[in-house]
Amino acid sequence: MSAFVNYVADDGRASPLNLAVVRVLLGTYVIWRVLSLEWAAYGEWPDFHVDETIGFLHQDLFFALLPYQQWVVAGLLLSFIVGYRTRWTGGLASLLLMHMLSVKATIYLAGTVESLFVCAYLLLLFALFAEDDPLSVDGFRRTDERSLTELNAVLTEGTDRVYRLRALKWGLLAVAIIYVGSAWGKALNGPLEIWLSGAELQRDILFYGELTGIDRALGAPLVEHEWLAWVGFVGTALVQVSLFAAVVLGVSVTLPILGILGFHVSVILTLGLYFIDMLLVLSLFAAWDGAYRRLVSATDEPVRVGYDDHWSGCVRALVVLAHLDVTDSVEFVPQSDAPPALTDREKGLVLVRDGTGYRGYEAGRQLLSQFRLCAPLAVAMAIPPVRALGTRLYAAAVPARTRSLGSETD
Amino acid sequence: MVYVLFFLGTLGILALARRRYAREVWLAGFFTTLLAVTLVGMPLLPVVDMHKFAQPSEEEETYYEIRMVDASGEELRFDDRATPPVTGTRTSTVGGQLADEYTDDQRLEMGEFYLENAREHRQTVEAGERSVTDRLQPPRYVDDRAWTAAELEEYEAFEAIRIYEHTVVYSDDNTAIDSTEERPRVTIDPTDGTVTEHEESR
Repeated sequence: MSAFVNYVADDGRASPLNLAVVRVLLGTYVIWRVLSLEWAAYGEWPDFHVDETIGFLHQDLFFALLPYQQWVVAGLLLSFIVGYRTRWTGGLASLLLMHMLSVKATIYLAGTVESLFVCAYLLLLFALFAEDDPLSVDGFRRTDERSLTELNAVLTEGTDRVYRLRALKWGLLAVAIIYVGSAWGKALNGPLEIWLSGAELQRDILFYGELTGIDRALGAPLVEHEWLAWVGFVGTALVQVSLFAAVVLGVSVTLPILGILGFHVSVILTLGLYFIDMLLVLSLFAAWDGAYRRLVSATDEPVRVGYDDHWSGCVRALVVLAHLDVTDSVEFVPQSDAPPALTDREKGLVLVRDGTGYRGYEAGRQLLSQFRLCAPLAVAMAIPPVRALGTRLYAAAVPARTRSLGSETD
Repeated sequence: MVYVLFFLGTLGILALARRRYAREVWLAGFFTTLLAVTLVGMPLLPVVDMHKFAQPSEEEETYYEIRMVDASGEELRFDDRATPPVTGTRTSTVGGQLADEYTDDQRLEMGEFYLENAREHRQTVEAGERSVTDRLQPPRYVDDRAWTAAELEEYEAFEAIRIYEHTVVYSDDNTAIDSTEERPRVTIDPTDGTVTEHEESR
């Protein structure tokens, strides 16, 4: 299995996990980035220091709003991270962020701004294709649209369905185009000869060393050996173009992305901390589902889960969780025709692993720990006060009908 | 205009996302713009390109440096952290504008802006405490040299800024910088309201 996924060639995956992982990574990263920028300072620049081509964005009001807008974006993104009303939380967060970055660009459009724009495009694509993402609060809410019979069928029949991850498909295409641009820019502005020697890179390294007063770890060898600098210069252009080529040709993007990651690392070692946000952006196209599959298949023992198939809240939650069961290690058995060992009318949920049975809240906790990604949650649920509260909440959630039915049969 | 249209259009598409062709229209519009912007190399906000380090270098290059001048006339290189969001290359552009383009009034206003921010930043550095939120910051874009409290101790209060023009000449084989020349261009003292050009030093 490749380390990175060419979603443009095929946006179908056996698991929707990558969407959830990317949603959390991207949302968290953008919150961190946005809250770390000094929005309040940008309005202090004298008015005449403006990029005239976008002068219309240089409004006092826009600058005054920036420090507050960052919190709105952060709030929207918190909701985006858990996948609650993704279309609007992601969409509005993205648009607001783009506007803030555009206002900032009137002062200085630097690499940080541009890579955050890329993050904003990805947020927007998530919003546009929000319904692709079942491992989310919205995914749980949408189970409401299906009948209990349908949901039960999903649990018992298992799923070999294919999930579409269109946000990542279009996101990958956008990123690939932007990287082609990096190579194209040099062809556009430079004379043909710059491709024939390492002079360009040697001078850049020397110049930025002089400008910032810092000698970079890997700067010296490239400056001293022209052929190394030439390899660096031409190699950069090649890896930048290779991603787009791989994307369109439908071949694996693993090597191109590893190449670009290598290019970013060497930029950091020769020129300084440029474009670090792109490391995160590129990591979003990793085959997280493959890594997860490996992790669970190495450790998981199969479990059987008996569940109350008339308790809709429970069925709906299980349908969402079942998306995490990439190795089919969980067998869901409806209690209306389950053996006694898997039936508990009062508790609703029974989990049997390796001969040991768990019931109610504890069964839910064990089920979460079965999906390694939720293991931290399962650990937290074992802390006594959390467990006490959780058990009470669980008891309150079990439908009264089940309890009365239970007492009748007892 | 395109800017406003983009936002309104996107909001509309978000509302209609489930309709047939709505998303296709948005994608077509977005990718056409992205391709055009990438080909031409001019951002059309909010659509950007990343033509980085794309300007070919010359055998000889010029950049501008802004230095702080303290009460006794000592000079200290500027720390870009004082004036977010700029970094060295942009400070160089501002320095160039201060040397050649701006009127004296603009020079004084910009000088005041730099001085005020430098003083504020100096206080933070001298206070020495890094708050928890500072520690949680992502690494700075372009990790250039920062002021240190020890270094600042040697200086009296900042009173003016001075712009230097640097000329860098690369050696023939580009393995080293052959020579660097620096000459002062202008001193801006908002405290006195004076602007002094140093033309004689050429």
